[in-house]
Amino acid sequence: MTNEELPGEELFLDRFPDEAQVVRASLWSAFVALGIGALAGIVQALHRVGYVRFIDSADYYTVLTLHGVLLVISFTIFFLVGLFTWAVTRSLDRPVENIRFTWAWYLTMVAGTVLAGVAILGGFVDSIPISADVLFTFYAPLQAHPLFYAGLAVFIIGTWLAGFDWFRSWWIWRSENDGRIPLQTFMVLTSMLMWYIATIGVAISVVFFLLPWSLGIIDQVNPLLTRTLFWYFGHPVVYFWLMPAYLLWYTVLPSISGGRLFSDPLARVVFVLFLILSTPVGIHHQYLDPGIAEGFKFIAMTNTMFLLLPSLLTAFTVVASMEHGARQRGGEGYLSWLGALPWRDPAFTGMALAGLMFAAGGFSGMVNAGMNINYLIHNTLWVPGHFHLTVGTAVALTFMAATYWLLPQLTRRRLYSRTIGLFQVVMWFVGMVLMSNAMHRAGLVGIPRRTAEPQYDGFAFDAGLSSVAELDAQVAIGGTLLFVSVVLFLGNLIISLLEDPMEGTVDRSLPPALSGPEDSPEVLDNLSLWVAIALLLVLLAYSLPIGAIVADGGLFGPGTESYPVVLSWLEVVT
Amino acid sequence: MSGRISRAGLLVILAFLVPVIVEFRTLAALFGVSLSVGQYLVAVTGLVMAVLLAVGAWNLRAGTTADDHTGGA
Repeated sequence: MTNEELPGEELFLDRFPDEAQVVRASLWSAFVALGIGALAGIVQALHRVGYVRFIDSADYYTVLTLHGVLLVISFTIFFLVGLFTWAVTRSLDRPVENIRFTWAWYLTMVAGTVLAGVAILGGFVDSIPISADVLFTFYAPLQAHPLFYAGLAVFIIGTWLAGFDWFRSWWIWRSENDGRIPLQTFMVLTSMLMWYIATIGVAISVVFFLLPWSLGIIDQVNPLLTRTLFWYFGHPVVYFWLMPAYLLWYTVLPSISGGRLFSDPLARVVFVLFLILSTPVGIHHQYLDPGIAEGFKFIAMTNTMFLLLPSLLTAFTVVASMEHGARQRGGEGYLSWLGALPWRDPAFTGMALAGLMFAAGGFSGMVNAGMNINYLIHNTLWVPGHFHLTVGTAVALTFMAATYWLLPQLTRRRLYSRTIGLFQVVMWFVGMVLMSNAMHRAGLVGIPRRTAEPQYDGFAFDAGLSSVAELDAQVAIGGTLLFVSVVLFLGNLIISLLEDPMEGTVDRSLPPALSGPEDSPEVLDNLSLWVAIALLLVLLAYSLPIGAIVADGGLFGPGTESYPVVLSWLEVVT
Repeated sequence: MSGRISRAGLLVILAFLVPVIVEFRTLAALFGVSLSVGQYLVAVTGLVMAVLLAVGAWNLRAGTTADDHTGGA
């Protein structure tokens, strides 16, 4: 039996009770992180704009680190491992091979999160000599307590083990079945292969440099090297967040729309493209870094622009699938079919709005990726504005919306209130429109990111038609709406779980694609080939720049210096 | 002729209006129109009212007794 034939009337919970338990635990871990991260988010938003300031500005960076790490590492990846466990189990229609191993990787990830979380929270207590105010971008020269780095390492090891678990399921399935890799499993495997390649950078950075440095085993590191290794991981991690959202858009959203996926082959092409193109692009985060030759930055820009292709393919395929669903529901006309979509369903509306916001995020991402225009917005509030559209909405809103769809099959509970769910996803959309719009606008006039005090004495930013006060108000209102939206989401879920179990079942079958796997070239399933190409591209993009960085600044520093070097040279000649 | 626009559909339409409302002054400036805050408030209120009236007119045209075959739109 394949994923297409899995009976829809049987709940996942009934068919795979042990796996459902792991999925629930993973999702709840994600939602705990979401709740705490959202709280940190509203605190920092209101502090930064100066509306409510009950923390010291020095603690802003602890709050910012908590917000970033909990939301983009813990929330996203815990949700991902839960979703991927669900997807592999249901699409292969087989339980995991060893549930103890499955629990082991989950608990490893929990342990990593606790270690890193304790290190971050220690920053609030002066009497405890532990802190990790290094933000999500945890490269040198900022240094965290060793617990933080150890926690991150343990967390990533947990994800590696999870990937092995899913690969093992597939290997055994393959030995018993002929035919193509079921689509959801294909998406999980390609995502994990990309993750294995991408995490090499952060693993080297943490294990060989940052952790020994924080333990005092080595005196110094090469900051540019740790930055480059971080961004080697730091951009593909964006796609690691996105790929589960894509999995949902490709395999679940068409079904909720009332139709079928337009093209299985296109979906496979998109995931292959993400596998091979996600990693050799990280240097586009370092356009302003001295010590990396412009040519290597140009290569990174070119690779990044190629990454638009899978996103554009996705836009086409997902919208075509939605249109197919709408027409099955009686929709007509060139655009009138939009009205036939199930807008009352928060799962649909949330995912659709998330996809729409992702398009906007893609446009601002093109600005980030362009070498010349990036200089305009580098390190300004534009950048958080961008990633609040991508990970903060395309990913987060899709995950919340998908939870509404997953809830009955994982818990045997119906959603307490679809109306609250609908308001919640729309509120997220509106809140993010306000907040990210203001952030983009603020970035365009040069207002910096990563600071509690964006105002300067004797200087005022010219916000054009509006004013900085107006932008601040948008950030505050938007941030508040987002926080309320998270509260509504979590409240709706908790009340749902307190309700009595439902009788009967719900249909959660996923119909086959209009153009199925039989239409796609078999080479797409040749994972070894794509991994080889991905590694080759990584080698081409990174070997020479990293070689130059090490040659210039040494493996363990001192880092490449520009400004002080010029000064000392001037001192010599004068 | 498509079906009536439900309250859920209206909610989404109004959500789509938010970016337009937020950047209405920028939009007007592109056409060389400079709006004061008061003019801006009047304009966006008028815009929202126009959308509500358009939705109401659409629903009247669709007929109050027509089946909502949109399944929730």
